[in-house]
Amino acid sequence: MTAAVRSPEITRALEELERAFPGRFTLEAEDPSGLIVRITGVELSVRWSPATGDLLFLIPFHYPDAAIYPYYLTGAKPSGGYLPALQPVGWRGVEATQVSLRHNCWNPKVDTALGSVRQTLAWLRSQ
Amino acid sequence: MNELRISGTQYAELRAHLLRPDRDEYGAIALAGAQRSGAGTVLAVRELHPLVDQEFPPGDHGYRQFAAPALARLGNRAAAERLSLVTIHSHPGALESNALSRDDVRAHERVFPHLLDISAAPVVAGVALGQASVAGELWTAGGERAPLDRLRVVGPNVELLYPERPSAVAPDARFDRQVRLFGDTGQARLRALHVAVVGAGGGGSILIEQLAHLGVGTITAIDFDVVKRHNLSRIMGASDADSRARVKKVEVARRVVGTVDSAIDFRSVDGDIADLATAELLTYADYILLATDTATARLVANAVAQTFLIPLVQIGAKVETRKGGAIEQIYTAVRPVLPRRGCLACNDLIDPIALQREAATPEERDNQNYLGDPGVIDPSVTTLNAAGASGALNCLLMSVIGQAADELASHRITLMREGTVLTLQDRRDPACRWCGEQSSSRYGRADLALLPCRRRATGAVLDAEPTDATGTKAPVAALSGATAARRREPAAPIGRGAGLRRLAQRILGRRAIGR
Repeated sequence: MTAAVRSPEITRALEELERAFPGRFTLEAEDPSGLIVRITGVELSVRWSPATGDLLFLIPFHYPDAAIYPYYLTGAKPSGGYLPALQPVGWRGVEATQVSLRHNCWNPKVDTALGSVRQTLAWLRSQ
Repeated sequence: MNELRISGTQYAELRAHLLRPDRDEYGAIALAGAQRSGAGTVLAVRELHPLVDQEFPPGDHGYRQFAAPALARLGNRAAAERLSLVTIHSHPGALESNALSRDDVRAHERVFPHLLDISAAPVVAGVALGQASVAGELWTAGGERAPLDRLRVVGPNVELLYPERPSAVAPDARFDRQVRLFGDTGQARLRALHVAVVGAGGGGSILIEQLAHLGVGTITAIDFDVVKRHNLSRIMGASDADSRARVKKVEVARRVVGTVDSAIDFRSVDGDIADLATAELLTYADYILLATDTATARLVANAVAQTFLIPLVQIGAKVETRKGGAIEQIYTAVRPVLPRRGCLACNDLIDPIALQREAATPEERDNQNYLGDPGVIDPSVTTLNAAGASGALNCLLMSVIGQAADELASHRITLMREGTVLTLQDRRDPACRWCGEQSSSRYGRADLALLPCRRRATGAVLDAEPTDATGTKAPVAALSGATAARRREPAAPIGRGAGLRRLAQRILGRRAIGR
């Protein structure tokens, strides 16, 4: 299986994520469906146990035409139980909490992976 | 076959600049993306730069010449944009016969080695445009020279200009009645046409059968799915035996085409245009018909159409229901897509959420459908499919035989209960990622543009089950002000009295301009 050829937009997304999360951003895998990336040590709220975890997501091969959705959180669980937008799943061999926050107004010309991550983290911290 | 390809809008601008009533010679420079293959080179014009008099002054060796500062300026721009430079000047006295003059050829010999050097492009070209003819040559960085075989103008009508008028073809009695509409020349154009049909199901099978009856010479049909029993109500030529044997839809299409006209070059592709190797097959077509209603297929076909300047028509049929199941509207859509005329992305017809959902694995889709929405499989009815297919084929036919009016290039919906056709106002986004004018757009970049596809081997048979039936209902993230402002207003129920124009506005977000 050959690695995907990265579009300029995907390359830019990776660079932005790396700059925003220095030392905490890793490219986990690259396959025809896109790139799986991990941001380690994201800070959550006291309603999570522990209050930090890793955020994983797929940047699909047709990003930014395709929205980024959903996110997967590992290493932390909601201490008060799962909300409707959060549920435990197995994803590509990892036990994770699926974070089902969808950007229904995703605009490929404006929205970015980094912006989406920031919105998701803000929502997670508010829970 | 070496071809220069240009949008109808840019060609009109070029003609107005080069072929003036004073019948003097004028010059322009085009910057083009190149598609190179064993079949030849296609240069797709991305930028057109008409030259002012000082940039095309009287020549030292011939009547006029391209001034060095203009060549340097645009050669550097070509290098920066990684495009090929094409010099174009007029031969106002050339009608249906055209050739480069000795001075033209000598000028190329003096200048083109330097242009190849400055622009670092694999190809440069020199073209002379006559009233109804074209002549030219291509130079490659490897030192080869080849004649330009034709100019293709992609507008509402697809115009072809050659150095010499093509010779007449022998009439074929098979086409006698339709030749009475468009003549032997029109029939010859259809025979020379290569049409790619994406989807060989309810809509695609009708397209393919009618293309065969029209006498189109080459048909590429792309579909990865097999015939199932529930397809039999709408796939032309499919039998119960096909569904039992799970025959590929493209093989049913091959059988139908062979029955109609065994001389047609029919190419069946068991694949998905989401995969790069399959999508690349579209880039060699003269015309693309899109009859599969997935967001991914729309994205890829639209990308090919704009990066390679290939006309596309997307068709679809839709039954809208109210909560509770009552039918609200039944319509078919025919959406022509021409270069720089407003693409599917400009018209918000490529859903980012659907793209994400279609790319997910079945397990991921199940997980994303955590609210347990049972999903809805849309109705599909052969008469609706036929209405869309005929609309698309008439676009193609009128375009190829030179009978298309400008408004034929606009999107149309037909309200089937009312029998009303709504022509929608063209909507073009100058900042579109596919057809826009900014440097980052893929328009006319040909081989330089990365198509939005998976990179893997062609012919992969993917999940054949409907991918859009999960109906995920995830909550919306807290949105920024700007994002929230883009949110569409909830759809309001519209009754018959509410106005067809308002309906068009709601269905496709645009104003209907005619009925």
